[in-house]
Order: sequence, then structure tokens, then C-alpha cells
Amino acid sequence: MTRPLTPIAVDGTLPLRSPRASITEVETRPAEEVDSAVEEDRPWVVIVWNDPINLMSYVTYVLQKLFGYSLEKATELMLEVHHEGRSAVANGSREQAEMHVFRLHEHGLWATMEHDS
Amino acid sequence: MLRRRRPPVERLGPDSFALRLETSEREVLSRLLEELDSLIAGASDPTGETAPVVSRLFPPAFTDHDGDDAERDAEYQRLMREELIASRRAAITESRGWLAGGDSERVIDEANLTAMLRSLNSLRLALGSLLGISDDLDSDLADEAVTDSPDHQLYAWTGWLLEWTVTALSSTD
Repeated sequence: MTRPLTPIAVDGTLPLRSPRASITEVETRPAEEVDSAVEEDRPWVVIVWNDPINLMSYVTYVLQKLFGYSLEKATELMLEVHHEGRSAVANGSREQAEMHVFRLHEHGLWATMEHDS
Repeated sequence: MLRRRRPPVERLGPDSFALRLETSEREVLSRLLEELDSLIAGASDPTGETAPVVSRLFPPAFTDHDGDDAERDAEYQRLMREELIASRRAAITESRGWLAGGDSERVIDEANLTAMLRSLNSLRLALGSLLGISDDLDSDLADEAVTDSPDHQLYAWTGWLLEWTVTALSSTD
């Protein structure tokens, strides 16, 4: 879902403005864009938050089904959600985290994503 | 409450489940899901007002709205809201299909029952929002149906049916 900031050619060369451009004409990105790209590349963590309406058994089942966790692992995470109010259930790239969040939302769980600290 | 001899949802085989609901139960559940479907269909504009009763079905994906997260969440909602609505509505349509007809026992597969599970949970989230449930004590009291309120009775009933559905899906053949 995130757009690649630099259109790198399939052979890995940097994009030039024209075929005859010199090395000084290689497209560069403003420093803030580079900072933003580095920021987005940091790992993301998926958080499930406590919602009093969702059944504990249901949350456990969804965590097993979506992430392939054992009953013991899923129960441990569910109990952390229940007692601590939140639990980190997965992590990965931004795209991976967004897909996890979407699937959790599909199943009615209150999930968000944030940078891994 | 009807006296039941067998569970309302039960695994019959590796990919086979029995769904046993009385006519009145199927009619009520189907009607509620139809109403929920209308509310979900009306939530397509992420920048517009979402009906409070279905707001739990469309949570934010990013929570730090003071930083870059506001922009990230707006982008997420813009790209994913329609897909989430379509997914929920498809599950409801499939579930209502299995609730139609005169059979008190239907045999369905795991995909069918998963659609029913998600629809039931969506309905419970909406009913819970309607009842103003905001903490575990509220939910426990509602699940025990301590009042005669039809909404509380329905909330407790969806919890009961969800519990059986999870039990069936989690069971081994």
C-alpha cells in the first residue's frame, strides 16, 4: 500500500533525468523524504486492544486462526490483552502489519499498528 | 429458553458442521443481520459520520493522531474501508443464506461457519455498542441477561451462540 519513493530500474540502476544526464544530474530526494523513508522502514508491531464485548474464547480462536499460534500462545496473548489492556501479537514491515490489522478488523478485533520501540 | 438436547453448533467431520437453530431464532438472527448490513453499507465514507452503533466495526489502524498517524490512518481508511465493508457484507449475505429455509438443522462447511462466526461477532459488537457496554463488568452483566430488556437478551444470546460456534470450530474431529 505504500508507494515506492524511488523508481529504481529493474537492473538496479538509479533513475536519470535523461539518457545523457551526467552523474551530477542523478535525481536526489530531499533530506526529509529520505528521513521519512527510513522511518517507514523501521519494523512495525501490531497491537490488539481490549474490548469488553469480544469473548475471550473468540479472541483466542482468531489469534490461532490468523497467526497459526498454538492454543497456549494464543491464550497467553489473549490474557495479556484482557489484563494489560493491549498485547503485541505480530510484527513486520508496514505492508505486513497493515495486512494483519486488516484481517483482525475483519474479525472484529480492535487492532492498531505502531513502530516497534 | 428452549430446552436443547444437542448443541446449536457441532462439528460432524473434518469440514462439516451442524447448525441447529429453531425457526424463531433463525428469523430473528436473519432480521438483525439484515439491519446490520444496512448500517454497514452506510459507513462507506471514512471522512463522514459513522453510525455509533457500528463504529466498533471500523476502528482506526493508527492511534497517535497528534503525529504522522493521522495522515497514515486517513490513507488506510481511504484504501481499506470499502474492502472491509465488502468483506463484512459478504459474510452477512452468506450467513443469511444459511439461515433461510425451513430446516432446523443445516450442514455447513468450515468456511460457511467462519462467515457465521464473523457475522455473529459483528452483530454482538453492534448490540454491545447499542447497550453502551464500555467495560468488562457491563459485558458480564449483559451476558447474564440480568434485565428483561430484549436488547440485553439478544446480546446474551449472541454470546451464547458465539461460544458454541468457537467451541465447534476449535474442536477436533
